[in-house]
Amino acid sequence: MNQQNEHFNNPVHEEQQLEDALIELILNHFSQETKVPIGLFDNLGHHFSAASKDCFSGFCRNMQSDPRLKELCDSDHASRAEHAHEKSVQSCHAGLFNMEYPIVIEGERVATLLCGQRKLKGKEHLSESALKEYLDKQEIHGDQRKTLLNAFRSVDVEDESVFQGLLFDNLAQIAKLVYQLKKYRFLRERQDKQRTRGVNNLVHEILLPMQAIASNVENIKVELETGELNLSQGELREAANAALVQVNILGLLAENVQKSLLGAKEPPYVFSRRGLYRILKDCIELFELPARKKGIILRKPEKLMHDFPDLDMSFPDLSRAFRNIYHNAVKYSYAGTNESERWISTEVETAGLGLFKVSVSSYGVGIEPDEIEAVFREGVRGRLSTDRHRTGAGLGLSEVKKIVEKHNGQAFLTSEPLNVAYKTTVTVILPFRQ
Amino acid sequence: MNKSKRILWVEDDYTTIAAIMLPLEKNGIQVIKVATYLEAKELVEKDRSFNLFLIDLILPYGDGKQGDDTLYGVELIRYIRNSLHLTTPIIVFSVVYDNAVTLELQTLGVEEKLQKGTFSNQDMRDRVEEKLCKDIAPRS
Repeated sequence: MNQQNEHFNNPVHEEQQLEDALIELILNHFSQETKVPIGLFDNLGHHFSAASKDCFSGFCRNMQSDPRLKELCDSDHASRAEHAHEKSVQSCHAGLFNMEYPIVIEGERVATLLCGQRKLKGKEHLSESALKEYLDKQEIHGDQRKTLLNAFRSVDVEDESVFQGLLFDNLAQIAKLVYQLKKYRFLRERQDKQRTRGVNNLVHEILLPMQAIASNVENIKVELETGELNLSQGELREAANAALVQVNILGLLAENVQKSLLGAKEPPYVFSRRGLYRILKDCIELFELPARKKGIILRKPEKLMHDFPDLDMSFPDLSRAFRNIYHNAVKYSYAGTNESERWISTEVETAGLGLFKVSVSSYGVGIEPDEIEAVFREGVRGRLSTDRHRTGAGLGLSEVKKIVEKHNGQAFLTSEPLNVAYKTTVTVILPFRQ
Repeated sequence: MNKSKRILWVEDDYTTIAAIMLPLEKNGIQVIKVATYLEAKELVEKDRSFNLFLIDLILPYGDGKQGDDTLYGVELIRYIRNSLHLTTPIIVFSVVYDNAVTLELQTLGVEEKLQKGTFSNQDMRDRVEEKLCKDIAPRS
């Protein structure tokens, strides 16, 4: 298959070709109607230009005929396009006036239209002195200087009101069309980027525990087969525990992905009367080791088992909700150091008539006030969560909220900056009875 | 041979995957672990005598502030090669899969890029020891 056919069969490439062809058509139409040259520079470094016959001045044609000056002109255009922030009339490096019209999609400049190359009535002297300065700087003397100066004197002079009025209106219409064309690509590329980041995060969330499992199991195997690592019984037990913890974390991720993908098709919960103590105890036991390895103490709740009331609950689902809460607490906690002890605490209490409250607090990466609601939505991660470049699937908190609400309860969080870390508390309130 | 060798492992998740280094450590290689770009940078500025760098690409910057999409592991390698001009062998151990990054790592003289997931401890030991054998004296 030749390259042309490959491109033809690639829908993205075909779409891009169509977009490019339409842009050229639009620019040509503009130039024919207004007799003014126009160029479009996008932020990918692509440049399109159009000039109907004879609409470039003799001066510009002269400049373009010298390869060195042409390169300088091209670079001046591209640089001004790149730095254009708003619609305005600016002069080029050789003193001719252009309109700059940036095309902005959702706050990001994606391209700039440049058109004009004219002198303005009443400002001819400014143009001429700018040109002389330019010619001096480029050390252009003799006949070439004379030719360029003569050609410059013949450049059309426009009334500034034409630039500000009719021409700007025409340019605005062109900009609108280019905006529409660019918008689809911009949105698609952004979506692709988000999808890629999401997939990479998910892959990282899978590969990291896999690596931990593989390494721990390999050490156990080597030790049992050869004894060459000289591991003590305690070290072997810790290696086995570390592998088990990571298996649980992988299982939690798989359940989160499955349940969130199932959405409305998820089977209804089956409620039974159980104590919450067992769930919290299991979670604390599960995450004690990874917390300890980070130098974090996972504190048990002060209340004893008999202080916990029985609640109507779907045990496996509520258990998953709390595993997510503790997993996040460990993951987003800053590691403890010799100078500073860190901990994760669990407070439990009855909260009004027939309600039970559990709060899990940790110290580390925080969540900013404006995104507290959003982080409970599927796939949303806090801006600061990349602070330490932690990856994540963005599913944990959305699953917590969903599960708790299916228990007719509430889940919310607070996150307040302290000295170095944020204190983040996830609170779950559950009714005794459904 | 390995008794005096020191490697710097830059990895924010080292507490989770520390087991991969156990065979190396048991073999007498000193593995110094740091979790952030800044910690690693400061350490290498002070001590250029490491025999090998093992670097993750997705690293926290280390100032506790809001992050960005920068791969600070790549930044660190650029710093080691272009600013400190160290030719110490570098192995990248990461999950990042990106052609542009792989190409840049090659131009920066990264010896190997290993993929996290199910990488064997024994293979890690072999790769590291192979590089350490080549590195007769600390380079600078």
